[in-house]
Amino acid sequence: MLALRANKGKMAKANKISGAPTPCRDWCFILVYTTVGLVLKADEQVLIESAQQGEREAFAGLVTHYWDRLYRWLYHLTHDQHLAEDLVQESFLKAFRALASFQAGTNFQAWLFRIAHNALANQRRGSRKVREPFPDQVPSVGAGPLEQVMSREALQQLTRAVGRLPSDFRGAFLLRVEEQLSFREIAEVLNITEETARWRVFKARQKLMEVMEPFLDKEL
Amino acid sequence: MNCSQCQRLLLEDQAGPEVEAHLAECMACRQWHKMLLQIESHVPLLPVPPSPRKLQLQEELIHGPETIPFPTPAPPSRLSRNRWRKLAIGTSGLAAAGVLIACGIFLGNMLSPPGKKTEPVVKNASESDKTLAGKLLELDMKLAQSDSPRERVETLAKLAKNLEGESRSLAQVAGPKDLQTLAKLYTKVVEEGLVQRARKLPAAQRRQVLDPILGQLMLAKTEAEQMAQKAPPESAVPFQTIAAASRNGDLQLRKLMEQTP
Repeated sequence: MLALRANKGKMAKANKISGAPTPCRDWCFILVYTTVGLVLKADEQVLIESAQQGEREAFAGLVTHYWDRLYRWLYHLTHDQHLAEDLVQESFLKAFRALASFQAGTNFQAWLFRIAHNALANQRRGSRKVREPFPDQVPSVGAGPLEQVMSREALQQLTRAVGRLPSDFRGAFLLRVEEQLSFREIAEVLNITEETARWRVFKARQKLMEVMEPFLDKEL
Repeated sequence: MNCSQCQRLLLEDQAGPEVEAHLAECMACRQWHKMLLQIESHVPLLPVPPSPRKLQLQEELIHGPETIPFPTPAPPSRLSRNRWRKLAIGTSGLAAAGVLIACGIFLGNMLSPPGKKTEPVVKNASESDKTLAGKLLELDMKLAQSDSPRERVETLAKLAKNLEGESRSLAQVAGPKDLQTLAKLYTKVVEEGLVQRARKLPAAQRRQVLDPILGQLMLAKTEAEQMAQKAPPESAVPFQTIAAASRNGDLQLRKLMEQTP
């Protein structure tokens, strides 16, 4: 729900700032989003509680909920599909084993992402070769309606630009923008201070703006 | 406030009234802000390779031999399970109700088809007159009160139906972003709610409960595909999203039924 709320709040704020003339629409969507978010969050809490009681299906439900998100984050951090999958699986298995220590009612997402971040840090410590440098080949950007908003070239450029951000900045930036975590939650995941989390997101955005400016549509 | 200060605050997520005031009068900063939003709205769409191992792990968890040992169940918390659950869900319901009541004044026609009159949310209105938020609130409350897997699955199916119906009603009047928001919610409800809860259904009830839902999902898929063809190009994506979620939901529920003895 936190993520949903943050996302919606941010969208509403963005629309408002950009001069979207329908505050009512913003509010309505916040309400709808919040309500659905609450429904799903309540369901997630039930899943966590059930998993803690030993229901394997409930944990499978949590895998459904978080696998893709965790995988995307780790893929963007490692640029290695197999390594990212290994880390996601390892994180879920660690979470599975440590479920009893998870305090119901606290933020499961931040807890899980922190486990993943620790797994990545361990992997990097143990590996001589850091596989992070951005590959020349990037996953292809499929043709689709998306390109009506951002050109194919701009999207590829954005993929590269995000991939070339310093890893620390990239991790924080993606948690903020994709996962809609608060700075406090980002700090919790990355084991840094909230101030540092803010700084990393700020620097990442600043860098992306510099790199992407020539490729973006400036028309209002 | 100058442009540099304004942009810095936007980068720091600290936009307030001063930033808004500056943006209202500075076209350069508005353009700059629009670019920032463009970047951020496209980050979640950056391509990543597929991850097939997710299904493998889920299969192992649900059907496989217990190669993954389950940890010792946590000791019961101070609140018993049922009490905890009711508290969690009930709190959610109350929070939603609080938000809705507090902001009821804003609940207008925006989420209803054009031409409909706004009704206060918590009012006895006929089904067709209720706003989407009102319907959701009712369903949220129903979920809070439902203990049986069957009731939860059926309520989630209704929630999905409402979201899908509302998206179609709004096709001509809502912006692509709003439609996409509804489409994402629909996907979440189907994939993270409906399909997951369906797994909890007792085998004896599965066919009876899931048959009509399969019909609903197929209908939603067909209608969403038609809408995607008819809608303006920028609004096609949300309907494609709904169609894809309906198709996936349908496939997963069918698979679940096949596995039912």
